[in-house]
Amino acid sequence: MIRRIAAALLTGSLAVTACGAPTAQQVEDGDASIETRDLERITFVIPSGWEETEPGDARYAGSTFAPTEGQAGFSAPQFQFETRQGSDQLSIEALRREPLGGVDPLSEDIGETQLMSYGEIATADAWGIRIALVDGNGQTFDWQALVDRRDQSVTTSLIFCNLRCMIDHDEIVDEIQTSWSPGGDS
Amino acid sequence: MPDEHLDGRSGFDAGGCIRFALRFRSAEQNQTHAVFITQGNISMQGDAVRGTTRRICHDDDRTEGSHGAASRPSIGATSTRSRSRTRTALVVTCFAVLLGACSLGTSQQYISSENDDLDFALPNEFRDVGIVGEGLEWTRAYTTDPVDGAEDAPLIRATVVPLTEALRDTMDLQNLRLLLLGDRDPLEDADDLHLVRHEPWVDQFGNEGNRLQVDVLDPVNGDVTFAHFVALDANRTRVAQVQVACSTQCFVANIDTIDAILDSVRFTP
Repeated sequence: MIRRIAAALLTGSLAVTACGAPTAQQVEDGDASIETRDLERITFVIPSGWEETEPGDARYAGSTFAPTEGQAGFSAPQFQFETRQGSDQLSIEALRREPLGGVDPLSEDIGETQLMSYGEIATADAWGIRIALVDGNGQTFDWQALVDRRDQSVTTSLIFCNLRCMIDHDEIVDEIQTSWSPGGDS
Repeated sequence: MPDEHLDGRSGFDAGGCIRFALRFRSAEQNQTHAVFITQGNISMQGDAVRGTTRRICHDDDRTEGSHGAASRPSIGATSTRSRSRTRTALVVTCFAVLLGACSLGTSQQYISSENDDLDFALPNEFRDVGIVGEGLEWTRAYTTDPVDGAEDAPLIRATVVPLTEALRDTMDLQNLRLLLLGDRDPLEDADDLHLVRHEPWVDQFGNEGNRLQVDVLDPVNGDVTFAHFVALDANRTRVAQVQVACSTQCFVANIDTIDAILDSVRFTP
């Protein structure tokens, strides 16, 4: 199930990269403010001490929570985001189906995966959803998708680590996911 | 004296589309009209100023007074009235037109939905011919009499619909566009569709929608033009729309009036 979720989440990233969509970002001093360079839309704030682990791939990890080799990717919270071109066929349900590769976790069988939380977002600038899933091995994914009302572009942000790690860093995870701002010219 | 509402019925069809039909008697001309509206498809039938019976069919024939199962808009005319009555009607119409012209600019009525979240301005000569339908929070229809020898007059329909959870989850901008023609996207690349206007918009509160105008081309029965203001609130729980339909000839003749009506629409949920 880990692979299933990861594959579903990364498919979009790979597709976007292949199409030449923006994946670059910039980091500022202090609390890092990162944003996509090309679309210059949704911006997130990353706490001090977090560093880019895979430059150019929009992946961040907290240096103080650096994963050990044997537990790479899940023993420390890692943040990943991307912005892609949207369409006029984006619905709440369509977003909900993204994390599990087409399965709606609210209305369909998701096997051993459990839905931890689900919420919807609506502001003047964007709308979207935030969903937290934990798979049968205790790996936890906090995934958010925001549709920019100005151009229908979609920014997804993902924070993942194991369940214990997610509980320990509950506040910081929430801070990051709710730190977004529309950015760019309105 | 207000128009006399004779009867009406409404509801959803198997596809979840909203339909209603009604008959009313025009107070000004003592003529009986029938209006059929489906989701995006409008049929209209009634006595005309010059004593003709005409129809614009864009629907199936299951409603009373309909003229066959036309799948495309059709316009026809048959003379049924006496010459003397025609003269009288013409005099009355000309007088009405003159009165309307004299009061141009001030002859507006302001329409508000039940919750005041949709409002727009209509020329006074438009009369309310609508009734509330099932499942709709608010809906009204308005039309006026054909003028200057036109075959038909603009038919305006305004609705506010609260979305069920299932509809809300699947609502997107393409679905908003589908509300205009029922089952076809006005942006579809088709020989019989001519997109005139497509203006997606989003306001400062996050409400968003479209302003559309499309010609449905039918060389046999005549072209029909549809225009649309449609809005989805920021929380994606309510859809409001104002639709206008009439023959393309009628639409062109009334373009300033129609544009003014759609320009005046305000959606403030």
